[in-house]
Amino acid sequence: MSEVDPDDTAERLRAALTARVALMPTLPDPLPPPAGPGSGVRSLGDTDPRRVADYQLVGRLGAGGMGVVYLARSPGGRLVALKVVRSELRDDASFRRRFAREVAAARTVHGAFTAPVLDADVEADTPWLATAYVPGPSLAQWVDEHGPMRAAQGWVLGAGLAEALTAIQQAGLVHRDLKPSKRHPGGGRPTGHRLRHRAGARGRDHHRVRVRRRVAELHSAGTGPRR
Amino acid sequence: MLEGTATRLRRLRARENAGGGADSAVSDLYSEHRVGLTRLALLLTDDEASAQDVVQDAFLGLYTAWPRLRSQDRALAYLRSAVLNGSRSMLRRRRTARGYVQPHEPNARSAESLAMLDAGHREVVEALGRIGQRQREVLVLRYWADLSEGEIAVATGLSRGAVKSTASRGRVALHREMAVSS
Repeated sequence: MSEVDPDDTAERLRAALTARVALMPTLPDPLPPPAGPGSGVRSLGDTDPRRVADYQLVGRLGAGGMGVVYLARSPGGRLVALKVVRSELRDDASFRRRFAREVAAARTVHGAFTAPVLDADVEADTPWLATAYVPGPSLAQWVDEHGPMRAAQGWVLGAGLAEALTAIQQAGLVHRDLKPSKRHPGGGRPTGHRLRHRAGARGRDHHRVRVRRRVAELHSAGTGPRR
Repeated sequence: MLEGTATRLRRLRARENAGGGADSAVSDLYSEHRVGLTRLALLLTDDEASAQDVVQDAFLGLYTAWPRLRSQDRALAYLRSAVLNGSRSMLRRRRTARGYVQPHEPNARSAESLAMLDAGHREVVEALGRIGQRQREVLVLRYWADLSEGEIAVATGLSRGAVKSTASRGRVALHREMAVSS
């Protein structure tokens, strides 16, 4: 048997376990709403509704041209991302058609890498769309916080992104709004990424892909992971 | 009559206090230790979903066991051993389901995150998967959770002496496994 140096083994083990834990998911809490700094969830304002259909709103995830995205809880307690259309747009017939088309398009995409549509009401006074909630920061937030990804992480992420886009393309759609704020590494785990809501998804004959910033710019170039 | 009512009221209040105490104490423990315990379970089971199940079960068990424990220190010791036991039976079930003994079978995601470890660290983590379950538990508690021998003894149900010898044999086994793979 080789020379045993227990102190060295212990130190190596300590360092390896610490490194292993650092790569673990941030473990979003299934019960209380994930809130606070870094979670991407802000509290509801005075003008925000408290309920939409059967969903109880918990916090704000973001706002865009179309509406506000809330973190909400289903009657069974499941967390969802609920997109609620802006009140100025609810009487706009052409917008309603566009929104209905987006929802129908989103429903046709299946895949583990996009947030699935759970429920929607495009006929409601204020139309809304509920998709699975993907906890954790977006790629943009992640990079702001941690700096450039290591090459191996970038490759894993790029491969997942390609799969997500393939799933969307196979459904005959074009994402049209892919950007780092829409990429969710998924609770700190760089491999469980998903694309959050596909704003303005349409048939691919109509529009060309608009990739605002190449994801590749966010990480340093390098070689693939050794496997 | 009056006395009976008073007794009943006292009993009700006592039950309320016990319930309320359990609620807030378990919530405090949950928010403070959930992540650490889940990481412990993850290091032992190498599977995120299993780890979360193990920790949820441990807290459910804690809730029922609360009247017997009634102190934060003992509750934490209870949680640690519940996580160890839960992880162990999770691994046993996985082995039984496959019908053969597979000492270390990381799932796809864990394989991916292993690929992101530095080669040196990866070698150690993989070697850790090949040594005995008890030794792995003791080494993780000692060198990752930084528990004392006494705390490890409580969590594993081993004597202090056995903790010491398991840790030392574990280090030797780990060293040997690393030497084999390099």
